[in-house]
Amino acid sequence: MGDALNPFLRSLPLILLFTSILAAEIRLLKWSVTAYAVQGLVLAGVLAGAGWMSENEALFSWATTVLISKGIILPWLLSRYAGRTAGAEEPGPAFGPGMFLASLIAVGGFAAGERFVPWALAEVPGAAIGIPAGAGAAVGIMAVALWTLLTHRDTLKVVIGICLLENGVHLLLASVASSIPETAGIGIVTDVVLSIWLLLLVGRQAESAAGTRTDSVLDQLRG
Amino acid sequence: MNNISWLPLLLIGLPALGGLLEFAAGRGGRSGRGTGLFAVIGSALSVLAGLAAIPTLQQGLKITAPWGALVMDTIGLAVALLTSILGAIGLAYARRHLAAEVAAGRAEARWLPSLFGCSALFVAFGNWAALTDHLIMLYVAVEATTVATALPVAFYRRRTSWEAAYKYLLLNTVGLTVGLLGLVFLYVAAVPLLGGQALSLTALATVGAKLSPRAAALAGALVIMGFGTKAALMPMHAWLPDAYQESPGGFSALFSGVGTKIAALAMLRVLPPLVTAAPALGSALVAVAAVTMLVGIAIGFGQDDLRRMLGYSSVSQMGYIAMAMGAGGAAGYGAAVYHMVSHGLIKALLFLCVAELYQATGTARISELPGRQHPRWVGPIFLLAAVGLGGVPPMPAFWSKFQIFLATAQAGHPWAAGVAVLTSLLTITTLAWAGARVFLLQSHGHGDVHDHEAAHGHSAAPAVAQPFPWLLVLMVIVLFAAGLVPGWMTSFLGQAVRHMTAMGV
Repeated sequence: MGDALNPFLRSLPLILLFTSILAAEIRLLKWSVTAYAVQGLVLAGVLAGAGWMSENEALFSWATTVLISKGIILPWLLSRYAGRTAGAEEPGPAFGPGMFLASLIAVGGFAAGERFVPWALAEVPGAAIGIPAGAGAAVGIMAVALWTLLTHRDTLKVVIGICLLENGVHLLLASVASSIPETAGIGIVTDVVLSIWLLLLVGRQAESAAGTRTDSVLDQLRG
Repeated sequence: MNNISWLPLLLIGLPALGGLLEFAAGRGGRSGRGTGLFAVIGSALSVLAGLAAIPTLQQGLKITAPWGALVMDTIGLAVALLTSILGAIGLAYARRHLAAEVAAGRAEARWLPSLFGCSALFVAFGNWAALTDHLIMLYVAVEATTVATALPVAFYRRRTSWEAAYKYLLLNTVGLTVGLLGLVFLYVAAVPLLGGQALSLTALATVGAKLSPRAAALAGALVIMGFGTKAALMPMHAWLPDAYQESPGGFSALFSGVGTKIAALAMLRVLPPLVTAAPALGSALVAVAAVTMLVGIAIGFGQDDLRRMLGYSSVSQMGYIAMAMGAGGAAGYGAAVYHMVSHGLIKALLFLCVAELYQATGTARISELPGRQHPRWVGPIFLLAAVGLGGVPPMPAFWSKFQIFLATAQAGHPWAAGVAVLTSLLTITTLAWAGARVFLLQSHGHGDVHDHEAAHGHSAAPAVAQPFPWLLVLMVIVLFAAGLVPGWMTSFLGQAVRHMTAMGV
């Protein structure tokens, strides 16, 4: 049973990459948030699956935290914002070269993560990547997140970019340091949820004040 | 040796309780004459708790909370006391200032409870960051200070306020997330050496020489990038001038005095072992610091808004603190903390002066202030603080900067010490020139206050008798106290620094 599931579990990190590309590049905000929610659920599945394969109980706790915060709370907050905001679609061309470039960045990030993280930890006795392809997927997601932050001007998309970044960091954290006590993980996630909630709140007020969700018009403070 | 006591918990709990009571009392946006009192009392009581800890720490002991997650050394106490003192004085000032702002129609009373509640929680989280001994909780506490200050930055609910709060949250959330990665890599590198103790900052300070240089370099770079964003090191500083410009008076004194110092303290807690393992990190930090201090003050010179100019000056001063950390050793680390205290106090005083100007005139623009009516004692105090920040004795910044020059030169970076000296001269020039234009020059016919109101929708507060500025005078006394006893300050801070360096860093 375990051997039969292995290929499936090993493919999950690739689904994480795919969902991050969709969350970043789909213009229809509802579907972008849905892609992010799916990523949260898959991420929880990856952690639980890795915990099951390696008999590492700590990863089950990580999976539970991720499921609640990134599979339920954050998507709910994002969808509430997307439902209340003026436009259901991000401004700009529907399908530009963005999807292609984001895919390239995701693949490049995955390859870099798979090589660089083990290299960086090679001199540390006993250090290991606890989740198959976890480091690559994490760096790939973070690369897509940075791409989103740098290229998208829609405030909701920017917040989704930060959510993706947090997912990537969480995956890398669980991959290389799953022995960190769960209380610390809960502290991190609480901060993340509060930060995202506040960003959405402030972004919504900025949208009301500026009359648009495009953050490039938030340029009255200069110098 | 450690002494077990409730004092660390009181330093965190009292302002936290004050903040929660503010929220409870202000439910539904209710605001009255007592609004802000709980926040001030909580912060003031935490000052007393901090002062009560000094005799124990002077004996060379550390103070540990009953369950050990909080450890108070002299460095942590210095920053916690700075936070609590500025919390008490800044928020006491904010009560009077913001009542006038509400009366002038520039602010809404219903946002006052959340402002004071968040500000008191900021004091509590700042003290938590200063006293925690837990690697990950250090991140949690620093991030919590960001969360607590976002709404106060947006207090005026103007378009520019939301813009400043958005940029502040966005950049710092991204930055601190990167910083968290750095902490995790430090933990991973330390686990083989410390096992279950690898999350203890005290334990981590002992393993610098044994860490993997490669992992340490990666962790250190991420920490500098991440916490450097919150500390406003260039090029991640962009949030700071906006946030300082939009922050309400009183809160801005607390925020400018402490906000960046908390992140700098976090860097100080984790960088020493990493720099020991990967010395290139220290040189890189010195280079970043030199650029930060010089470019920061150069941009500040060209600003017309006093709050923005002080913001860029803060960016520049954070360069000094980073340079001292990059120089390393007992001298560098001690000088870094000393400058956190001296800059925090002086910058808070400057922001209180600017708040007085804004309240009296409805503007903080240098070009619009000459000739305007304002309390006559603001000018002398501003100029005193301005030259003090530049490093003129007997202000504490003279001593802290002098120590930074020496530590940097002795660490093999004489060019950087030269940049620091040059920046000091530029700081005096920038702030004294701004002060001279505002307080010594007559009006150049830029229009009277009513023109400005029409253009910006602002108005001066109603003319009222100016009370004696006892809060500003209190700040001046605290400032001189920190500057007139440099030997005591150096010796006090040196206890924790020597402990750090003696443990193998």
